Amino acid sequence: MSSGDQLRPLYRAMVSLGVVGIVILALGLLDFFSFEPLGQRTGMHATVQGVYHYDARSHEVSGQPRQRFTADEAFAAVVDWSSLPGSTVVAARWFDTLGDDVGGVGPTSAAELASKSVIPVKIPQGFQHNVPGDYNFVVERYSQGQPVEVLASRLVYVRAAV
Amino acid sequence: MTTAANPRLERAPHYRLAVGLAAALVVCLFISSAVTSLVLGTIPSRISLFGLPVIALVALATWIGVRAFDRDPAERRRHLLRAAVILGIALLLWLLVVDLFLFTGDAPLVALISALACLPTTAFGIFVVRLLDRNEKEPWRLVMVAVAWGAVVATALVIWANTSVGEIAATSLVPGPGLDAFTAYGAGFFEEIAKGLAVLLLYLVMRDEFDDVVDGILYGACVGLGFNYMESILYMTHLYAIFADEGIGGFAAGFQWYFRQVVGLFFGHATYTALVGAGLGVARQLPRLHQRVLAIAGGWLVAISAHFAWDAWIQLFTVGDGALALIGAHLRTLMMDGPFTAAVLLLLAMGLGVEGRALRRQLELEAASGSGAVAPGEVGVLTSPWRRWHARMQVLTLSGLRAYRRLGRLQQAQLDLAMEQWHRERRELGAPLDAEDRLRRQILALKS
Repeated sequence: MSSGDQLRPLYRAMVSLGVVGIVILALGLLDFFSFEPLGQRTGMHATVQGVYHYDARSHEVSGQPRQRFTADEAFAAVVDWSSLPGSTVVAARWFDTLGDDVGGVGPTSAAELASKSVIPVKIPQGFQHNVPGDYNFVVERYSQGQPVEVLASRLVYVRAAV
Repeated sequence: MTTAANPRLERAPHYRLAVGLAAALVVCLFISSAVTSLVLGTIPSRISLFGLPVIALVALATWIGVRAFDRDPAERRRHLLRAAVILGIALLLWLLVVDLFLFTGDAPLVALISALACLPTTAFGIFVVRLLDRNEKEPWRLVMVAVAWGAVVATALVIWANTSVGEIAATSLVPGPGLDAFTAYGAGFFEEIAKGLAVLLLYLVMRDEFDDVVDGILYGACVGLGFNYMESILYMTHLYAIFADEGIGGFAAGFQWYFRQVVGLFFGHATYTALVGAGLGVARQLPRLHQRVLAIAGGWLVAISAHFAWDAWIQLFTVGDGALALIGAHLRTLMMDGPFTAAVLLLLAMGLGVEGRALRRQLELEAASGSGAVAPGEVGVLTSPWRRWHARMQVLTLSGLRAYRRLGRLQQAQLDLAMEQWHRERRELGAPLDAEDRLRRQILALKS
């Protein structure tokens, strides 16, 4: 067998693996667009007034808006739902650094959420404090039962308590 | 070290490409360092403190480099090389400082313990990978360059890219599978490019130590192991910080260590970059440009897709609860990364087969030529790693360490000669080689 013949299976194997790679990446694109469908941008923006210290007993926020908190501190985002058309179906959710959903409201119409402008972060079950790290607050627009557009977002950082 | 299969005249285009690539990398690294320094906020003063040795090294390299031009041409080259090496060390040190500050955050002790915990496992991985290169072992210096690139340069290259993509995605995409897919695309693309560049540079510059698919897989896996080392420290430190308030920080860090340094040591990054290396290794053996491009693209594409699949679809493999979760997590690694690792092993086995047959043929031809460099009776020993080791052990027992090392050098030189001849048979040479004659003389001297 010549040198070229010996190398042919290796060459074909690499080309085949490349094709497998293209198929996987194409499946990834399908996956992406099934959750981020095209043509869903409305140009709407929700107004997030800020993220504040939160009192769990009175369910009220206090102080100035901040971007940094400690893990033993409760905090909440305040949204002005009147900044959106009342019929728009929306939800607001908090995600911790692990990507877990840690509090939110909706999905329902913006009009129904008018009385729920304060959206606190919940301490995960079995935990004594919030999980330290980056927190992402997102206001999402829903269509056909699926979140399709981000109308506003805020990032805050939570430091360890100890 | 014997210079080899590609004469200087043949190398020029590769070198020009490598120099261009290196210049682009330096620009990227500069941007990366600048962005990272800005993001780190309070840390620049500490970076300045630790950066002083780097400044001193740069100054020393400049001084040697400038003085080199006052010397005669023969001396000049040596001094310029020395200046370049010092400059390279300065760059690596700077990147290491940036990496360490970024990865350790507020817990340098935890990071130090994590780094120490990951050392033996990573060292074991490098040892095993090099052992798989059974016919002609690559020099430790290049293996460690590959590891260092993965740990320091590749991580520094992707920090800002991953962070920027993550922040843009987090503020504009709906959290969930779509966002996961997007960030997985970013991680797969940027990380595999950053790691694969090391193998590409070795392919372009060190062609006498980059013979075929086996070498590509070895260098690629070593880059991946280096990257995995630094990433393990990052995740262990991060998870410790997250769970320390709950009193389970150590457990969380240990869990990360186990899954990244034990279960995932040869899966994940080592496998992905080995696939990039395999493509480059196969390309090294191919005569036509379009074939080389396809082989390299194939390796990179499958590496990016394997990385993407793991990051994007890991949530699809639920691992269950309690004790079942532990079994499930192992199975998940096996099912998601296993097929790609199996592909690497298959390519390695095929490459070793091709290489082994070629070396045997060249050794037989050399033995038949009557040059004395290889005796007919030595061919069987030289083509079997086990018999080579056995022969060295016998010599060690009978004649001591010096004879053992001498035999090791002899075997290596004989295999180098066969490899040179294989390169020549594949018409990768533009001119007759002095290297072969030098190797023959070296072998005969060792035999005498």
